[in-house]
This record gives sequence, structure tokens and C-alpha cells, in this order.
Amino acid sequence: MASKRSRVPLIIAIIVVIAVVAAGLGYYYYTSKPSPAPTTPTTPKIEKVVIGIVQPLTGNYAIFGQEAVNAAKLVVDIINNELGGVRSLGGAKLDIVVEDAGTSPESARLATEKLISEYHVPIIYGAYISRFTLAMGTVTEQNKVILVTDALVDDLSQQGWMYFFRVAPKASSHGVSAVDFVLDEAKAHNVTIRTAVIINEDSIFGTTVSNGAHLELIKNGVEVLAHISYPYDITDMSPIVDQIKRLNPDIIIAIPYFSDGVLFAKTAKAAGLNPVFIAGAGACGFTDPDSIKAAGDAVLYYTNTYSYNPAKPTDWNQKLVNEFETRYGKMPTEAAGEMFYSIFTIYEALEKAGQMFPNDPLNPDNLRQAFLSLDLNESNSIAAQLYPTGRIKFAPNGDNLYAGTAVLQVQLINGTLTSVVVWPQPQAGVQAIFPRPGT
Amino acid sequence: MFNREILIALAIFEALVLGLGFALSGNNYLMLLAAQVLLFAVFVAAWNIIGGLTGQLDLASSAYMALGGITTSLLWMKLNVPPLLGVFAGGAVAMGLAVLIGLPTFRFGVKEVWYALMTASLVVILNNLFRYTMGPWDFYLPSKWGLIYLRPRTYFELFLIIDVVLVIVILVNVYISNSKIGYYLRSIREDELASESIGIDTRSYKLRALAIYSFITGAAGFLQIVIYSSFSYRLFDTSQAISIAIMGIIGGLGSISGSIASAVIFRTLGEYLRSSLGGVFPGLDLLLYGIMLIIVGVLKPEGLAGLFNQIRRWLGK
Repeated sequence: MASKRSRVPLIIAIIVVIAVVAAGLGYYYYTSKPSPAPTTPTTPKIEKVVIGIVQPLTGNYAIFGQEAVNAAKLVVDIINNELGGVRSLGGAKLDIVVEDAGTSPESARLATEKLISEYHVPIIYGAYISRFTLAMGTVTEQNKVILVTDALVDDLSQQGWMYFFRVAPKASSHGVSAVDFVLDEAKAHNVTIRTAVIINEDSIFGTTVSNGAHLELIKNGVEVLAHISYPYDITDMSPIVDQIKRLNPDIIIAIPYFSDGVLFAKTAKAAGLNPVFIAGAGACGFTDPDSIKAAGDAVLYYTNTYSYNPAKPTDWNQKLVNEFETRYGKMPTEAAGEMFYSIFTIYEALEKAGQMFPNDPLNPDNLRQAFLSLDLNESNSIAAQLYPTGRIKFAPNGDNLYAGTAVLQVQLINGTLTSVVVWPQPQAGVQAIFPRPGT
Repeated sequence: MFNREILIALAIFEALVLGLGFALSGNNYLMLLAAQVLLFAVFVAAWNIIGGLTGQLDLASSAYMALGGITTSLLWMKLNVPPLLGVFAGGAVAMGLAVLIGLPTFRFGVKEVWYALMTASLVVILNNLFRYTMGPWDFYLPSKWGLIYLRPRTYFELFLIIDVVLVIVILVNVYISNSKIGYYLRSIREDELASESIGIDTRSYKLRALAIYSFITGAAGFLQIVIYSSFSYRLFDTSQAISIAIMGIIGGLGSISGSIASAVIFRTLGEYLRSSLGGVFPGLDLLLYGIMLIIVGVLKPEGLAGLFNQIRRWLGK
């Protein structure tokens, strides 16, 4: 018993001493370093600019995150090797540090803190999922780090954030574009559209897209007969299709996820539902290869809106699509496209910052001014050549004033169901088929 | 109740925690991680009351966390009740639901695997219910900061707040464990029928354990929302509830030091894996949990606590 007592105080003493020494050393180590300002000091020579990238690399969205990271690597290589870096910063190279956003807002927040604390990045791109991006935004705002996002939910630009920019079209823009496309085509073909039905899967994204479409329809004097939400894993579409048949609208605006879109198209075809037009919105379902494979000719003439148009005929877009295909063996889609034009926009903002503020280009407020002063179009900018509408200019809330999407339509070309770009600029040799044949 | 050995252990633990806090206070990333780790430890330590001491495999931790957190947030946003007070209401609502569920559950003798299934389905039911009532939206906390909102400006202060909560949870654990209730609960865990036959009101004591656990979890839920900055029906998350239970089991059922140690070790390891290997080996952390569960089940059914006891015995020799 006596020997048992003898060791315990010794162990306690050792632990306490270790703790105190560790605490002291740690405190000294961190406080003796210069405070981690997210900006590079006003040295005239900047060797490189590090951009932090936070993307979901694990979990359900990993496939999108991985594609985005691949796109970033390609664009940075092109900027560094072919364009000679950021010229106004003396040829400073771009570098990227990639962090996994993980599976919850707290891991996305940790990733952001790590980029700021350990790499002192002036700009962060991320993180595809809106609630992850929200957790990141609270950190970037506090640290005055520019956040460029590929998360599309509208609310993000309504937080009063100063250092926030979104080149990609926000969710409601997808709904607006779908409606504008249909009304453009209707006008061109002398068809009058009076009534519409909207159906959407009920996630935050689907709901926001559908609200954008709803408002745009009302604005253009189209009566919305019904706005129907359903869960993305719905197994029976016939009640919804029956309801639409009874309402007999001129057009249907549909915001599906993936399998629900297939289910809708098949049920609508079987029930003989054939309005003037069925337009999808939100970049999921109907026109992607898997949906076409699963639904067959049920999705013929369906359209959908996309944040990126790989068929856009500008030189730089064709170059990037070709190089992406050569390097990764697949076509770039949404995630890669958003990264293409966002990184080029960052690059052009850095060029601008170097010209406007040669003494302190990476100061967050100077960088913000540079972003806000951009007015990009296809003749003066690479980023604009990659963007569906060909124009990029930021509103004070950080959203692109000229946000818009491309519209793809499923058509029968040489006996094969193929999606082709039909709006705003149709790809070579095709045009939108409107209205649906047989109506 | 609180003997000298326990108080010394707690003091050493706090010296380590605070030392670590001061050491990391210059690095926001590590400080935020430390705060998250401590909060996870709070949830696991609270779970220890129902899962460890009482032996009920409760898989509804995230339901109480979300319900309490959302209640506190809504009281703040709609009625201007500062979260410092609101967390008690959040805890009370979570406890109210737990008691409402617990009364018939324990009355009709739902136990073991059936209790686990029922609590897991509670998370799913609430997820759907809140999705239906709140819609798909994320709700953002107001841009107000300060102790009264439990939303400090620095991570170090957040860390200190969570540390205070953790100390309270530890003391509650120790108090229960060393009191008459603790003996009753352990007896229920070992053999419920036998306990009943010697005159323990098993229903009432299980309900008390459930009430305390759900109150703490519900009250601490708001701190999780503070870290997220937003809340939605997605907070009712089955996988989080399962990881909390797994941590409690790996730590050693009923052992407060074991459950805290496993929460700290695995949450930190999970972050290390995300940060260093994210994308390279997706899902590696989950695989690791599985492997650890098997190892604990086969080699050390008493969990980390068993390991600690072995070390203590070795020290005492």
C-alpha cells in the first residue's frame, strides 16, 4: 500500500510539469510568430499567390469536388506556363492548396481556418454545398479573405458579406433562364404562352430554382396554375402527371434531381401528356447521358439549364475543353466549368489589383476593389469567353450582374438521342426544336 | 461523493485542457479543432449516462442535440431570448420529448436491440417532421456576438465555454456514478430482471437517466449550431448519433475518462485524416471506427477504460 501511494504523486507532478512546459512553449511559439495576416506584406516582389480550394472530396458530392479540383489544376498550369503568371504582379505564379470540405459544415469551417492560419491565402474558392459555404463565409469575412463560391443557393449573397463573389449563376438564375428561353422561342415561333405548371424536387436547391422560375413567369404575364413540390426519391409520378393533365398548362417547368426526372418523363409519355413545351432547370436530370440512357425517347425535346456550356465556340473555351479531355479523359461538366471561369476571373482580378494598387495588391480591400471594378466581355477577357452569357461584372453583393445559363436540349441526331446546346447561342448546325412536335 | 482522487484527476485534466487551450490560442485552426473536440466529448460524456451507466443503447443523441439547439436558436431569433438563458429551455424541450418517449417505452419494457431501433427511428422521424415544417431551408443565426449569446468572437472563448460545460457534465457523471442512483443504474445495466426482483424501480431510474442525458445534450446542442452558423432539419443526423454511441462504447461503457478519451482521440484523428488524406482514401475514418469496434469487442470489451485500469494497476505495483 505504501509503495502504491509513493508513485502516484510523482506521476501527477510529472504530468503537471509536462503540461505547463508544453503550454509555455506552445504559447511562446505561436505568439512569437508574426500574427497571421491573410495578406502578403507590401513587398514589391510577389513570388506567388496561393489560392485555397475547399471542395467536397469525400461523401456524396465527391465526384463534383474531384472534377472541380482537376479543373483548377489545369487552369493554374495554363496561367503559369502559357500566360506567364500574373503579369501586373511581376509574373507571380498561381498556386493552389486543396482541402477536403468533409461531410459537415464544421469540417468545411476547419478546412477554411487551416487555409487561413497555415497558408495565409488571400482568396478561397468553395465549397459547392451551400450550408458548408455559409460556415466558411463567417470565417472569411472575419479574416477579410476573398471567398469565390460555386455554391448556388441565392441566400449566400444576402448575408451582407463584403469579401464574397459568385461568378456562377445562382439557383434562381437557372429558373429565370429556363423561362426566358421558353418565352424567347415562343416569340420567335409565334406561339402564345398563357399558362404554366412548375414541378420541383423539394431540396433547398430545387425550391430556390423553382421560385426563380415562378417569379419570372409572373413577371412575363404567364399564369402559374400550380407549383408542385415532391421528394427527390418519389416512386410514383402518376398523381402529379394526372393533376397536370387536368390543369392542361401551355408549358411545364420541371426541376428534377435525377431519377425523379426519368420517372416523370416516362409517366408523362405513357399518359400522353404533351404540352407546348417541357423545360427543365437546375442542371440535374433530363439531358445528361445517364438520364437519356434510362429514359430513352421519353426525354426527347426536353431541355435543362447549365452553369457552363462546353460547346461554346470561343477559342479559349474550345482550348480548355480539349485540354481537359486530353488530360482527364472526359468532358468537363458543371463543376469543372464553374472552376474554369471562376479561376480566370480571380486571375483577371489579380491583374487588375496589380495595376490599380501596385504597392499593396493583395490587401483584402484592394483586392475587393479590383473584383468590383472588373467589367469583362468576350473581347477583353478569357473568363468571359468561358461564361454562358459572355459577360461578368459584379454587383456590390458579389453576384454576377450578367449571370445566366446555357440551355441544352435532347434531340434525335443521326438516329441517336444527343443533348445539344440551343440557347443563348445554339451550337453549330443545330437550333432549338420548339414547340414539341405533335402539339 | 467527490473524493480526493477524483478531484485531483479532474484538476489534472483541466490543467491539461487549459494548458492546451493557451498553447493553441495563437492558431485559429487548431483552436477551432480543440473546441470541436471538446464539444464532441460533451455529447459522448452525456451519452455515457444513458448508454454507459444504464446500459441502454441509445441512438438518438443527435435528435436531442438538434431539438435543443433549434429551440434555443428560435427563441433567440423569434422572441429575443438570449441563448445563455435559451439553452435551458432547449434542454428542457429535449428532456420533455425524451420523457414523453421514455414513459411508454420503459412502461412496455422496450429494451436492448428494440430500444436501439426505436431511438434510431426517432432521429429519422424528427428529421422528416422538421423537414416538413421548416422546409428545406438553412436558417442563419443573427450576426450578434457576445457571451450572452454564447457566441464569442474568438475560438479561445468558445473553447472555454465548452470546457465549462464539459466540467459540469463530468461532475454530473461522477455524482450519479457515486450515488445511490448510480448503483441502481449499474445494476439495471448488468441484469434488469434481477434488479427489478430486488425491488429497484427500474422504469423510474431509467427514465431519470434518460432525462438527465437528454437535457444536457439538448442544452449543448446550441453550441453545435454556433459552430455550424446555421441550422436546418439536417441536424437530425443518424450518423452523428451512431458515432457518439460508438465513441461511448470504445471508451468503455460507464467510464467517464474512457468515453472522453475516445471522443478526443477519434475526433482529432478524424480531422487529421480529413485534412491529410481527404479525397485519397474517402471514408477512411469510418473504416477506422469499424476496425476499432472489432478490436475493442474482441480484445478489450471494457474499452479504453479497461486499458486505463491496467495502466493504473501497473503504476500501483
